Amino acid sequence: MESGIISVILVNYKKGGTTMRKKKLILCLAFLMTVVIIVPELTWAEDPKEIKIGATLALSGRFKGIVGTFDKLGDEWTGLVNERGGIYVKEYGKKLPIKFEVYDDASKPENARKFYEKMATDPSIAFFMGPFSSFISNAAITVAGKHKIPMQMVCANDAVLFEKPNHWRVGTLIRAEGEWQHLVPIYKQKGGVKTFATLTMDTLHNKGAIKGFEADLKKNGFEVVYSAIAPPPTKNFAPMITKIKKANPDVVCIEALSMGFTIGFLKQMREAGFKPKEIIIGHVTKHVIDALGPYAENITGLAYYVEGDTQDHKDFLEVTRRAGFTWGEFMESGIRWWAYTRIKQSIELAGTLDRKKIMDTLWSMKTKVMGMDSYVTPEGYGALESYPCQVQGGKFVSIWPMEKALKLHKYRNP
Amino acid sequence: MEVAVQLIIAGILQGGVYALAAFGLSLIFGVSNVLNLAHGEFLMLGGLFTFLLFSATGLNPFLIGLMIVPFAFFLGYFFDRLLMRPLAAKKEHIRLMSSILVTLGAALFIEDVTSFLAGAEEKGVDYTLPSFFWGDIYVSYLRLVAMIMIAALTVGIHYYLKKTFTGRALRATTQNIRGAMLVGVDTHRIRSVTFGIGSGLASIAGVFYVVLLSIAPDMGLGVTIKYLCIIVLGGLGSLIGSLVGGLILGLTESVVSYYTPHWGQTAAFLILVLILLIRPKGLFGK
Repeated sequence: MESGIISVILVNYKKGGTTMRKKKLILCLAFLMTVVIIVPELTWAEDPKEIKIGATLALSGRFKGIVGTFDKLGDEWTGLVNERGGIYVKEYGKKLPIKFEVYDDASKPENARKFYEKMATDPSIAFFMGPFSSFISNAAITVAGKHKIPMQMVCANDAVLFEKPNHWRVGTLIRAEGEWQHLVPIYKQKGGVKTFATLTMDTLHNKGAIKGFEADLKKNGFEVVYSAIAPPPTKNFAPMITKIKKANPDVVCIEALSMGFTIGFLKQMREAGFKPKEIIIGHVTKHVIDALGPYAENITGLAYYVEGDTQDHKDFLEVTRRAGFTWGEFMESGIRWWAYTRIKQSIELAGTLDRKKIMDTLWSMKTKVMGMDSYVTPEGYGALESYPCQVQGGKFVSIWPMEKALKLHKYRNP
Repeated sequence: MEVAVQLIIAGILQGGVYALAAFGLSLIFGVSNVLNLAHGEFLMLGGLFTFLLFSATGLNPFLIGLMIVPFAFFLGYFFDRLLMRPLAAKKEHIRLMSSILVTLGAALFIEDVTSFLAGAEEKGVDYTLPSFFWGDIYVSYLRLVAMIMIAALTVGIHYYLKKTFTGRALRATTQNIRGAMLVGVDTHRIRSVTFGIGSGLASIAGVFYVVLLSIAPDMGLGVTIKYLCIIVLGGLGSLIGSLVGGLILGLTESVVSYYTPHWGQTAAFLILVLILLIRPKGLFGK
């Protein structure tokens, strides 16, 4: 088409006088420029065929054990939404199907940054969903901020993510320091335990969660008799167990995002014959329960799920069923559901795929997810809390809040 | 006092587990002059097959371990025949460099294929033996079994190398490959057998790994680097050096981690650097 226009210009140029020729030339050039500038814009202004959400996930590497098959969970969620026609976008007056574009960041921030940068060059990406962990999210949010693409973070709530102002990211979870807060009332109410020992894997999230828990314990009159941080590749826990045994706490707490860390510690605790009254594991998944067998019974943990009967609950349980697991097998699956729902709600409420408007909506909207309030604090934290659960009968079941819980809390060694 | 005894016991037993895995790596280097970066993958495969068979049959994991050793041997044997033999004719420095690249590639390949076929998540076997208690001191029978096994393997391999024809051929190949060829030793076959033995030993270590801790497809390179440090510390190619290296690493980790878990592994590697400064060829290196 452009070569045709150029031939017309040349023919006209040869035919006319100098002034006329100049005028014609200028007109033709103006026309040519208009075509070059407007045509692509016209193409861009066409209604999008789908809503594309870009994300990375730790589908391999040290976080794989806790992430499980969340890529499949995302696919099943998009499947469910698309079965119902997609997400309604007012600007286009119709529902648009959604699609996930997921890359494996292998649990490494540099990979996540690389993939988000790659996705940022694709104009069809409407939304970013954050990667797993504060550690990797810290790299990803810089990309969202740089390219002004809305990012709903998922499993990331360490303070470092919210210290620097960044309009283009919001969280799903409350601050990491508050993550273990619902455990304290259980021990206060039941009594029988006074002293705690904590061993934390050296990651941003784990350290934040335990810092908050230890402060809560001290505030409530409990005593922390052992507290240590160990690097993620630690395999030899015997020295730490020897020291913990000597301190003789009632409760032993392990906060680690790597399942290998947790499994290694608990197996070596079993070898040492150490039987505290209670064991709390911050992240219990199917793999921990399977690797420990009956020894996992009555281990207390946390999950981002409260029993209920809302449509959200039904949809969430359906999506996890289709993905081939239960919420109790991957305790962080509830966070995913919250983030998916917030993405859907923000697009529906914004009524557009305009990135700025979506981001503003993510900040301002106050909605319900699974019957609970969903909003964002001025710093960017979300509203989702974690709730105590326990391994009972080989399964992870909710034990809190008591009015909604399926089972009652039991001490491991009363 | 009790704490000190406990830490020493824990360190020695942990060192035994380290040495068990480092043993095969040392043997392969001693005979073939190859740094096998896929060694950790053979360990992982040993653990993985134990996990799969244990989940399917519920058999004792150590019995499963014995059953898979021949398969691990043939895997190592053919690994050498297919990937390492073409490098045998190259000049020594080229062979060493190429072998590092080939085994690194093989390690990444095995890791990816295993993740794809068996899933990338952590896997552990729920099996334990009651520990022995003496007051507050405990001795883990599982780790004691590992220690006994490494001691038995050290003695067994020592006799195998001294008393059997293949063992003597293996030693001859280590000492002078041309001389061995001149007296009719099939050095290619000897190298393949060594790789087979090394893989078998790694698979046994994998059984202990999956029982005592857990395994994951991406663990291979990490453990290989740790075991390389052990054999460098003990002296490349020395079996007794691997045992002593493992024990030093285990003991250092144990004592330092008691006071500060964060520095346990770092301190162990500092000891490695110190020993190498004093004895650049390692404790038992020639």
